[in-house]
Amino acid sequence: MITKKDILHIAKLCNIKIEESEISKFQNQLAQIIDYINILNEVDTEDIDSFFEVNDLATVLREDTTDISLDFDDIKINAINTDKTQIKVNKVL
Amino acid sequence: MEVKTIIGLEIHVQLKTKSKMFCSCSSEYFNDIPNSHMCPVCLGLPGALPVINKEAVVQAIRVGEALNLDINSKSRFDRKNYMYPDLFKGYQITQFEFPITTSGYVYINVNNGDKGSKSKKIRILRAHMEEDTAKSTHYSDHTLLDGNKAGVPLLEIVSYPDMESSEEAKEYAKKIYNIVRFIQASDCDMEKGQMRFDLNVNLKITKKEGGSVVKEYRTPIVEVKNLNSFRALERATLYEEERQLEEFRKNAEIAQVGNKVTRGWNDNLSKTFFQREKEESNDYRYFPEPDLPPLYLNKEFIDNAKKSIGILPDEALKILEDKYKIGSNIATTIVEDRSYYNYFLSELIKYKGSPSNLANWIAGYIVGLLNESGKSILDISSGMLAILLNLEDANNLSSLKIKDILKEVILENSDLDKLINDNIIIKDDNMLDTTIDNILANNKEEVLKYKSGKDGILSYLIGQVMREMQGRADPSSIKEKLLKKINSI
Amino acid sequence: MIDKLKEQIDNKKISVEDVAKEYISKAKKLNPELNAYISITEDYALSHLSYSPQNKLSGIPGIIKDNINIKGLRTTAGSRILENYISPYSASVVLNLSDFTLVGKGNMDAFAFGSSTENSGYGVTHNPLDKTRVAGGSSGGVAAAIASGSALFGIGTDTGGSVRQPASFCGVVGLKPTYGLCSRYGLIAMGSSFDTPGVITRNVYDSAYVLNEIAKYDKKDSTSMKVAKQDYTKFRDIKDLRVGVLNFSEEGVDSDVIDAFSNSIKTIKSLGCKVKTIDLPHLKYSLAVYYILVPSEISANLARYDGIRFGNHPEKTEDNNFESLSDFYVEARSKFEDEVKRRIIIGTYTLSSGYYDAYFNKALKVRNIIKQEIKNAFLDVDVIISPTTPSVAFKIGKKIENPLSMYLSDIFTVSSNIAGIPAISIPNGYYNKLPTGLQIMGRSFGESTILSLANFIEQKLWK
Repeated sequence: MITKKDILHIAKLCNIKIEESEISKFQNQLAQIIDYINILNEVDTEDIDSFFEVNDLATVLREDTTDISLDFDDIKINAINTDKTQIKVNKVL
Repeated sequence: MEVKTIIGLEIHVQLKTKSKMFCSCSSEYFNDIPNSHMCPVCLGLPGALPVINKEAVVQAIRVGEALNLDINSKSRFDRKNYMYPDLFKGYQITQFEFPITTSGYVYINVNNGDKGSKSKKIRILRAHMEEDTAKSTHYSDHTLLDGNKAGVPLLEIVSYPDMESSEEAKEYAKKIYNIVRFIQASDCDMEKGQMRFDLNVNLKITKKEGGSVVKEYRTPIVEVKNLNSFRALERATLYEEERQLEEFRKNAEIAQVGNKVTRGWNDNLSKTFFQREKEESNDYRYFPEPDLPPLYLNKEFIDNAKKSIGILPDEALKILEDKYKIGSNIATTIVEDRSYYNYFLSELIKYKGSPSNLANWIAGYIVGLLNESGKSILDISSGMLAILLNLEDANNLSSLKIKDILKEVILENSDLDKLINDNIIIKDDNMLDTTIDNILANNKEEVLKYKSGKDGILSYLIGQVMREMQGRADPSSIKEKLLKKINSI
Repeated sequence: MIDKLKEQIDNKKISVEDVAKEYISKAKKLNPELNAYISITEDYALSHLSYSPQNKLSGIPGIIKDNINIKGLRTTAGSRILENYISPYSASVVLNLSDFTLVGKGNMDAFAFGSSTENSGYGVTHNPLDKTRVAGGSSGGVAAAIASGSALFGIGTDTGGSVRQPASFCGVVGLKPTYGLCSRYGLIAMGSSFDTPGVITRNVYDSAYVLNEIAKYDKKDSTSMKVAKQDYTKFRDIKDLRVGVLNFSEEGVDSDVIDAFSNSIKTIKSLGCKVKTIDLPHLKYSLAVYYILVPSEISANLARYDGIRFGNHPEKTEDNNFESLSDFYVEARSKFEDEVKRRIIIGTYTLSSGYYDAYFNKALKVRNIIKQEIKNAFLDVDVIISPTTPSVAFKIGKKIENPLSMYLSDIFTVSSNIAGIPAISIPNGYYNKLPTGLQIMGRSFGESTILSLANFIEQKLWK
């Protein structure tokens, strides 16, 4: 059972606002989906590996070399605000 | 009432690599223009993907081996999810369930009361790779973000709570510092933030009556994050020991099963301050990083990394003390840095005198010069010290002159050969005799004083002669000749 | 079609500029009614015209789904949260399309979450064959553009069917290559271990033609695979090919779809292939695995949209002064569309403390089982066929309020993303002018086989 408290806790974790009026909608939709995915309980996974890579790739490493970085202009164009070459945000603490 | 401190440390060291953990931006950012080392990957732009830096993996294995950790042939990266402005992707790529190394230890020297010191084993739970966050600077009404540090490779070394005092915590931290620096896996420059400590500390308080335990309490664990010097680590521990005991007494000694608390450290006030209670919102939702295939390290890869460590500081110390008969303090200074030790060994090949004399010069003079000048021992031309000391041993150069020469060459890049030529001892008996005669003639009163028993006058006279000779005389010859002449007066 | 146009350009019968103008003007004309494009990039295209005969796509008009970054262009991922985002870099897959002419950026469900393009922050895309119906999704804009002829090829992304399903709904060809064959670098991530770039074209040959350009190892994508270069347009003989017919439950599948599928089996038999029914008992768990793992990955992939470095920046108002950091974040993220919010919430839930083992870890293990089961099946057969979708294109608005029924429309397509294998959808019938699709799945890196079979079926059915 997914409670209102669960929904609010999750919303807080991912910083998504759910309006009071939407809580029961989300509660229902989430419950429906959770109910559907519970079908997996039928499958015995006792001896199955929890490491997964689609093509069984492993140990993909790059050499320790450097490359050119972005111009600050390319960062500035999308940033909320800047001060010289720093990204400036409102006091958020 | 018996109070015992329980301390565990999480130590972050910046692994020595050219580029960042998951992208090719340079990881040498100190004092560079903010946000000049950024690319789509470390800026966390939509669509960018990480690729693991091989050298970071090699360095992690090297540290693991040096700290007696098991190197796991199977490990992987996970995402640690939390949103904060300095964490650009909204998750940190770290190793959670399957770290690259687990279960190691180091020995530290601890105080053993009247019996001096003894060796104590501190167990290490794990050491895992992760990426650093950006730097945020907080002002009264805004915060500035510099991402140069974001994505720099870190190794987090997590100890067991095996330490029982601030001294032990400091000793352990220094031990890790020494080992990691010595194997050149990190520069551990704390001013550059390359080594940071997270302290976990609480108290176990036992009440006894007539020798038997009545009740046992534990104060809530306090985590003090981001301590950036040994001194801060020591003082924060001492402060917490006192604060927690006081709190315990104030709360009428009620057992508190409270949540873990995070406190910050104010270095100016030498105090910790409350930051936050670690509550349910701290749900990091770890899951395997889908952008990075797991690490399956073969034996050859691991062995090659291990082999590249060479010698460990404790082994080097033993060689210096046992083989070369070097005193413990001097030897300890030389193993502070791998480059000092290498320098010692390479000069020793060319130096004909005693290893301990060479070691004294390195630890007692050269290291000081380097600290003063900010230069590295690698900047000193190889063989110079051996040449100078060989000259001294042959009575061709005074130790005073050697100090001057080293200073000039190291600090001013002056020409060594010319300096030696200008300062080499003049073995001209006539010149020395004339000089001594002049000095004696000009210091008749002092000679009389000496004769009347003021022995100290002799070194004054030697000094006068030496000055006249511009330091280029052999002090023992001066002394010999002076005494002879005075006695014959 | 692409090779014919290329020939004309090479022979100077038509200039690259004229081609660009022709297709762009068509796109501009059609867009008010179809809404296939979020941006039509006329200025960009005309100022970037370039031609070199050796580049196979030189001057060929293409549409790129708007979750694929192109340097200097707005890249929205179909979401209002990125409405002003200018990408400073290009996806590797775009860089591999040397000299192509960009007609525009394709409409899509925001962040590719959806099967109808109704979740776009830029309005729904209409199906060119029936404008009251959806074009499918999430690459609905790309499929509609190809079907209506405003571009000759399109690059979409496919996480659970997002290339194949809209291709099927619009009566065109949709190819999802093997995971790792084409680089994901620069694709705005949805479910990172499922996402692949994909191709939408008018015919199978064109898909193979474009695949030749984008199948390339990329060191910037750690999941990219080094595969020997091959020419996918050289179709191989398919006589005696072992074709597995997926045994599926007909419940919830339109009878038209089943009829078309039965017809296709007959066609395949007539081509000399050996047909047998194949049972994959764990396939029924695919959707559940998908709807745990993908939202989990989404919840992390979308945490970077915090309104600071890019994207929609919340501004202080009298009502909202951002007393706390979370106030700021919540405001920035309020621009997410409903389906985006829903998936972030599902994923956050399935990963949250206490549920990891029951959901994520369980699903990961079942994914391993399904992958193995499919791999084993390919010991007996060379390809596996099924319908692409359980229904033809549905009416706009029909499923939007019922997420689960929308999710169920991915039933045939998700399995190949679960196992990372290639799959192609080709039109195999029309009922009341609405196309149905046939899906052919192959072994990992067996693109050549599925393209060959698709080509011969296409020849037989439509020529």
